[in-house]
Amino acid sequence: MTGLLSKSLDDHLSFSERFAYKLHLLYCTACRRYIKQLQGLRSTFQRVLSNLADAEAEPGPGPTLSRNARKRIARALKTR
Amino acid sequence: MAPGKDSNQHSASDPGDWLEQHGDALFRYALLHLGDRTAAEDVVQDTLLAALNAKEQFAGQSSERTWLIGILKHKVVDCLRESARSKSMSDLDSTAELVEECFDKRGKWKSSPSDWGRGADEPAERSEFWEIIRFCVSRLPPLLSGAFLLRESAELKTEEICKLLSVTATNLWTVLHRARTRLRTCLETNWLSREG
Repeated sequence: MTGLLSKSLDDHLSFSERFAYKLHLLYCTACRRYIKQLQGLRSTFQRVLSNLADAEAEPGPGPTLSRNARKRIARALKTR
Repeated sequence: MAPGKDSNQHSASDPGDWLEQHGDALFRYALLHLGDRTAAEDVVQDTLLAALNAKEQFAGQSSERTWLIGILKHKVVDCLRESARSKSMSDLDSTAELVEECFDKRGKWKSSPSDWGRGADEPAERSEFWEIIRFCVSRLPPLLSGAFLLRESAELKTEEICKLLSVTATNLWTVLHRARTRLRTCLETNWLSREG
């Protein structure tokens, strides 16, 4: 079932596949949570990425280029 | 080009400032996808070099950041494709048991998904979540992380990913399923056990 739920995020399911998983979700709380978490995973991921792509956004704490890496890259850019 | 921001047009800053203004964002993006600091640094360098060589082509139609990320994305997809393809068969075989572990003989959840609460709604929580996602993605074998990122980040269609990774559609669904299952478990464990 979880394979089917995962597949629903990627491709069109057949009528019987769709029927099977919708029916299952009616009574299985665990799987309802599962699919909700998968969808949440997708949207959080995309939010994180669009935040990075937005120069106006607050960068927030997180990994940064080390000083050495910056120097190295700056040098490579100058001497191109 | 006139200096200063024009509200109707994206202004280009001095390319000498690109590393300063965009370096960390590019690095984070690359690190999230590649998992390795050195690889991420190299890709950032390649991206800025490519951008400098192409700067005449950037006419301000999008923001500078968007344009640079676009270049970075192409290079990252190339890296992901390389590392995923080189490990594909062995990763496919070695990850087979993971999903089955979640279910008992009757196909029921052994331990059902927990309630994640409100999830990462607050900005501070969001960056913690970010760290955890990054950690969890980096723990996946190359085929799984590559496929997941090409699908969720590059938003490629499954047919395109199948071509890039030389896998069948059925194998790809399996790979994505395994990747998501592992990520979900890793996220749940780390998110729920975080401090504060």
